[in-house]
Amino acid sequence: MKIGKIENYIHEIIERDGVVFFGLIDPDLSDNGKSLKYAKAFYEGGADIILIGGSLGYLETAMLDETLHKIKSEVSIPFMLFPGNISGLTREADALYYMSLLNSKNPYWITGAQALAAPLIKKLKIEAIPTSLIIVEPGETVGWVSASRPILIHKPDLAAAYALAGKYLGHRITILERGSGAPGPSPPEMFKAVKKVVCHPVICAGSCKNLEDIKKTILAGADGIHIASMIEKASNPKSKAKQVISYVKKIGKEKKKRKVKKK
Amino acid sequence: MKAPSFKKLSLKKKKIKKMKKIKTGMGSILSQLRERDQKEPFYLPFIDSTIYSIEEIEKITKSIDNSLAQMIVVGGILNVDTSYFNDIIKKIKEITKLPIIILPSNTGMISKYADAIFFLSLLNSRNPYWITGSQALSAPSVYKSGIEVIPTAYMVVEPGGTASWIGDANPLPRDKLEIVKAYSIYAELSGKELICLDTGMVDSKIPEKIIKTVKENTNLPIAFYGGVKSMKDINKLANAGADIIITSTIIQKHKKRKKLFHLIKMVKRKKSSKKK
Repeated sequence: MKIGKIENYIHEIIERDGVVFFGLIDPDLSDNGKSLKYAKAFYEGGADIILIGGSLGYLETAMLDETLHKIKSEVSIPFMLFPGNISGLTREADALYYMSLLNSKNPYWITGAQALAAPLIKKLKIEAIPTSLIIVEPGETVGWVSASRPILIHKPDLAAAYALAGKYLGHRITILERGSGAPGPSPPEMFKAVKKVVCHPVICAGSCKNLEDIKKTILAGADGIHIASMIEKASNPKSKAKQVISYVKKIGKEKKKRKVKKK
Repeated sequence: MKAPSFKKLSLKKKKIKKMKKIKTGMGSILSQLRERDQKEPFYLPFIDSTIYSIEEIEKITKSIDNSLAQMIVVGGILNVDTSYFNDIIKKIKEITKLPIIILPSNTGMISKYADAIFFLSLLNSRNPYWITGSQALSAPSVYKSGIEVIPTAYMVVEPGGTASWIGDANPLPRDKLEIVKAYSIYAELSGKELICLDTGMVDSKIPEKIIKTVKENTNLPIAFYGGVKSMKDINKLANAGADIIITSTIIQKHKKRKKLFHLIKMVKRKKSSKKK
């Protein structure tokens, strides 16, 4: 299996900074230039990748195309899809997480939707990065929609077992997700347990409420971090983005240093 | 293609040993499977650990060792006691130097004495246990065993046999090729290294159209398992584009077995159905 451009880019950034910063935008029906504003804030703040979420996947493809086209003219970093369902595939994206929700109760979210979308992805020639998505308690909306059996928050070994299974099934990225609105990111013990058994990038999807959360998560071993609501809630998204991203990079370098010391 | 007759093929043991190239080491099984698929189908005899006694396995392994088979697949549809499974693999190792690959049925079939494991995900199952659940439960022990892992997409084709029933599969219909196409592209994009098709151990025809469709849509090696009964079947599979043929039914019959092992090496494709 060939490793694509964007995946290579992610690896290079992890090598350089210790951590990748994903700025998550979620273009929805009442967009009105909101996503453009946040994308620009992320870009100017120094984000590595813009991630396009679609937790419910009800946005019409033509509209999404148009919104992204607009954003792309002003923001020149890679765009990646964080799909919520088979809709929302767009040729404007450079890559997508080709996710399998490992702990769903419904095969549709593990292989079904992926198979239905496969011919189109191949045709559009979007780089598909095989990814394991693991839902951790409480799961929130994502957990409910995908009929998941969220990993118990005090059982890091369960998360590690699923992450390892994902690796053995050919996935090259692992995402731990608690759902939007969760009280905080997955616990550091979980990242440590997962990172112990897999060597590919492990990513924390959202739920970081403050800089302290970010620090704990990255130092526990996370190689990437998705941030959305911290910036959206700020009164000045631009300066907040700059502050958060520079902090993430600082902690990433600290993580790298610690790794070297251990060796 | 006409199947070569049995009489012409009386290879001597020395010659067989010369023709076999056995490599072991990290990632070597998969690379051997990949290398091989360019030229001719790879033939893997399957030993069912759940139906044979140790003595029978000894006999079968000896005849496999004297044939041109280059690897042995060990597995079984039902579950087996772990220590017995280890004993079987150790026994096979005593007799032959051929690499052993596990084709597991459930979480119990893992052994550090094997060389590799087809880490299966039954893509068209209706029950998540067979797609990711059992995989997560067994992943830690595979990790500890340290054997080579080959990410494998397992798909059941109509009518489906025991594996299909136990695995609660939604078998791929033979005449709906767009479904086969979707699943095979999925298998490749999601990082699998091998596609394994199974029709079940019943009297079913070789699904040539399905194999061709998978071949056209992916670059992955295709393994075929289940219901191979004759040279005619093997020729059909080879010409449709199967890269790896796993047989279990025919090796149950001792007389047929010996002859078949010699023949399999001689199977070549009519023309390359691989687009490159």
